[in-house]
Amino acid sequence: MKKITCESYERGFLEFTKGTLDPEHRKAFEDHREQCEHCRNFSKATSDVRVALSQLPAIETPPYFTSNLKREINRLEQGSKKPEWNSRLIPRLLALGTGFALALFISFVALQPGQQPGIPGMEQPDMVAGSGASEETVNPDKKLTIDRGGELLLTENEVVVDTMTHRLPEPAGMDSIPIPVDDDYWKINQVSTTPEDN
Amino acid sequence: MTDLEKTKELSVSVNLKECSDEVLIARFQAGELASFEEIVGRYQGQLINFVGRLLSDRITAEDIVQETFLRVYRNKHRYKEIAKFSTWIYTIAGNLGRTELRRRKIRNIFSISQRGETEIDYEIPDHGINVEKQVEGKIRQESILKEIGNLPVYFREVIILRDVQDLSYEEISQILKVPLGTVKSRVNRGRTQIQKRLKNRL
Repeated sequence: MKKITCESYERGFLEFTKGTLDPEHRKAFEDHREQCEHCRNFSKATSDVRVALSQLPAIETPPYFTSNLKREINRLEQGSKKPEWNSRLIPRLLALGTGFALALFISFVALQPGQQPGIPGMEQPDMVAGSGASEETVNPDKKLTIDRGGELLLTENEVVVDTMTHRLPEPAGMDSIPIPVDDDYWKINQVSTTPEDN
Repeated sequence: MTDLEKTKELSVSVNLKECSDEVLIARFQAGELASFEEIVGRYQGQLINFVGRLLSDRITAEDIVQETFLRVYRNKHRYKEIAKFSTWIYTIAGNLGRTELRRRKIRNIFSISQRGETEIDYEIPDHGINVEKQVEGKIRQESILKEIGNLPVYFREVIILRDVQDLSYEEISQILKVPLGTVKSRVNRGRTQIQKRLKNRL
């Protein structure tokens, strides 16, 4: 009597269900199903599911697959080779040089002596100060006079403006005193000029 | 195969199409690129079908299979002839496929939790099948594909490897690193689930 394994049962299951097996094999399949719980369960569960699964259309491999793979392998090969010393060094030196030149240019333009810090070509607000100017308009009523040596010569109608903050001094009769930027100075002066404190 | 045998075999001009997978990888390990190309030719279709069915996504499957071949290329010397070559390459592809599925699951959990719907199972949207325009066989195939996609991954992979790829239980057991009995049980349970769902659907 012919005996079959679970593997053979499943492999020949399609033919068995179609009835295309010869009588001897058919009998072997039936006997095996009687004795084997796994194959009984298999038969129940797969009456037609396995047939359908085996007949699923294959996913086509795209024609570009092999060429893409070759390209990736070439890239892999090139990546694993160590580049020549100059092919690594030259781009780095170029980048470093460009950065250095740019930094030099910016510092040259922005920090030229006698110029306001800022972007060249942009107009500054209502005042321009510099050692080269002898007389600059601050305000239609008030004028700032700076001598060539850079020392401030103030008259009654003149005022010093902080060029960084563009703050004008408070009108507290202190026109002739240069106003520092330091906030502590303000606190001291405010305290000393308050009527209650006096 | 010893190195000497490999060298002898390399020195003889052979028809690569007649070589076994194990001989091909041995020749590739010895430096013959044509053997690798033959391996790619043999396995690209099988692996794209396996990963494509596993992910229900052909495009990502192509990327994963490409990565599989790149890993074989890079790690050719790691293959030892203690297992079949097909087991090795299916294991690599399966691992990459499962990693992709885990990534998608995390992404889905994250997007669902953002919507405050953590109690709802994530289902692949059913766009329906226009019955009138499809022949019955086509509808059935579509339904089966959908049901395969809806199976839990541990059922899905054994069903694909067994029923679509036609691998033996032993090989599936080695690829997935699970006992033989577990593979058989999963195959049966997976098929039963598909059958139940198909009955409800059709």
